[in-house]
Amino acid sequence: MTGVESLFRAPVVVAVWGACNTVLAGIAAGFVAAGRFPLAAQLAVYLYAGALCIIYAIAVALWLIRRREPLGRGLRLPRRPAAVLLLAAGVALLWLGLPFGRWLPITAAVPLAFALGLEISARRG
Amino acid sequence: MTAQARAAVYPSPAGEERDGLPQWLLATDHKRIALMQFGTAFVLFLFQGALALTMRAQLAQPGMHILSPQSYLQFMTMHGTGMIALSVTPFALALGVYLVPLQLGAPRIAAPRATLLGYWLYVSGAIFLIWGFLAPDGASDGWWGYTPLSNTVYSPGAGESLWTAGVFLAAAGMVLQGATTLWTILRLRAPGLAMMRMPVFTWAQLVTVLMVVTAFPALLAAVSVVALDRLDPHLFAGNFWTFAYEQLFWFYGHPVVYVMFFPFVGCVAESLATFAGRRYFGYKGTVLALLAFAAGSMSVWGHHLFASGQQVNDYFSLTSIMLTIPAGVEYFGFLGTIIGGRLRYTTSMLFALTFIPQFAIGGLTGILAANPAIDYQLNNSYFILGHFHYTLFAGSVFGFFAGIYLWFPKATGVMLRERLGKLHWALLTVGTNTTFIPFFFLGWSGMPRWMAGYPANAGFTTLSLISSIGAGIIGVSMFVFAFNVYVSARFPVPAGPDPWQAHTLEWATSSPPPRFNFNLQYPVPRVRSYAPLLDIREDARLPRAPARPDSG
Amino acid sequence: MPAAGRWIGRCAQLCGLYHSTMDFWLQVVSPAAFSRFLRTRALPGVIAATGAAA
Repeated sequence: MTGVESLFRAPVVVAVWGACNTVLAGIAAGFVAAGRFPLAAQLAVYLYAGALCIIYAIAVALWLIRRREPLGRGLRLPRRPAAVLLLAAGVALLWLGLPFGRWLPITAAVPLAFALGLEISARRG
Repeated sequence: MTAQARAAVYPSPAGEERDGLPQWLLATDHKRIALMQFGTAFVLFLFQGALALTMRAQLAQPGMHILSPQSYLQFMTMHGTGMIALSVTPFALALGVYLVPLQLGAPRIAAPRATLLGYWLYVSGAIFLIWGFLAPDGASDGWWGYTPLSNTVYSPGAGESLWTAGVFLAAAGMVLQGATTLWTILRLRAPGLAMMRMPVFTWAQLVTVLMVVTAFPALLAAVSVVALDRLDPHLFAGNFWTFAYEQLFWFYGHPVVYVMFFPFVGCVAESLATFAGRRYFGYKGTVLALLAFAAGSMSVWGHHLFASGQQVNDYFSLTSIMLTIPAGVEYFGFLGTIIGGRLRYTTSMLFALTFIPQFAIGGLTGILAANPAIDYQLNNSYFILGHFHYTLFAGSVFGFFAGIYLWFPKATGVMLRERLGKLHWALLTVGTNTTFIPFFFLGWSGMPRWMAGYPANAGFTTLSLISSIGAGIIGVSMFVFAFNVYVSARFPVPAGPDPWQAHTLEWATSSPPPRFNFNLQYPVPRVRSYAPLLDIREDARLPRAPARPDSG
Repeated sequence: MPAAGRWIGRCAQLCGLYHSTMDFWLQVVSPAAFSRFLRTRALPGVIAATGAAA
């Protein structure tokens, strides 16, 4: 590999992106500190800081899960895909409680239970 | 690699997938999931376009002779939310779900079932959004859902609640797909495929999904605020909460437009390189520019709030105008690839070439609005509508079609008709510019957004009529495209693995690719750069094999 | 500064059902006329106190 290629690996890329955002968030904090802005405007910095946490979490995950999976594992068919359909249906039913009343989310228990059952059977098999 | 070694790497998988409705709906093949998503999103794109045509039919003349004010606002809400949440963002993610594993020589996407879950959450979101549109008290607060208009006092009934649920579910689905695509890029690349050997399209997709996982959670939070506000309007009473919602919403609301931009820039880049017959120009600069551009786009959201009087205008104006720098670098990449190349004017190339000036119009009018003093006059006028329809439609949708005409043969094994494609392109170009250029002048002469109708003495009539005629031409062009797809499927012209003499790994496998993308017959070739097939072709033209460093 | 006279203003934020017809009038007068208005709440001619269009 050339020098640039071996330097610019996945964790470095995420770190660079995180660094760019950190600088930009820092500049925002500087503007807020220098001016007299209402709390609603200062929220901007806190929001940005929250997003930075997500980026750093990705970098940490990348650092922790370093080993690549062997290629052969990639060629197995995932099991019980119906579990995710049922999960989506359950989540949707939960949200239907907002327009139509609090009893509807209770029905979500049915698809969610089946989804859980399928998932357990997928991991056991 | 010896045949024995290759067979060890590509054992035949247990149970090749059959064809049939359940096998598609429960697909764990990233290609099938992406194709389902393209299909769903495209049908909805046509539906949302029809809504726009109806609105433009009304706006062609003064008055409100087709839609009542309530209906117009419902149409407008469904058009805006639908185009963003149900069509263009899903197109953007689906492009990555389909292409990224192929371009990286990977047999699959990371967490295939999570990717499928993403699709079904999106579908449930679509169902709720359309339901919310069709309900008599339909959602009519636009795609922003600003409080207090979106609470139960001012938007009573099921419509706005269904909107809230739909937006959440569709966005949650996209977050999942962003996460799985991100992990595929970071950890599932073929051996020897360094980050700096990824194609430009995959880099564009990387920055896209970085933004998706970082910024979309803010939308999930914002929509949850709307949901809570609908459960109890007293929870978020007061100006502070109204503005806090706006901050939270736009923290998502700006990056999402870049999510709806970068993948299509990637399509344009691949198309330009392929049909100019040379590797993409300025790769390293483009990679850095993409990273900087995406980081920048996370920092500009306050420019949507310049006119509120409650925002740090200086900072957001600075960051918004700074975006010109990485954008300029990318434009150098486009131009450097084209200039001096031997151009083939396929339909894909025409769309890619047209993207370049059209997106520039959108981008530059955005820079104009990035000046708060100017934005005080232009904010929420048709000028802003013109700006973002140029970036999103004249830009991203054109980039989208550049990608469609490029990759359709790969995904289906069948070529699209070139003559119909060029007719589609010509009509769409004429229609797009006819529709959206008047928007800038309408905004300049004072026409605000969300206007269901205007009086005859307002001075908006002539330009509105021209714009509406353009919208009709766009509609005709979409019929031509749909007809092209129909004819190409009905009387197929088969496509081989590489009908275009392209550069990247997806063209080294069959059309359509096998279940795990590469196999004994079509193994992953050696990757020495971001244009591996071009490297191999250039090597073959040399008089003898050169000594090149191995991919390691 | 715009010229003296009546100027129409239009609502620029989605405010609900009647957003499209939520217009207002802006009356531009000389500084002297404005000072007199502040003292006496009376404007010569054009717009009556209720703001109804003349």
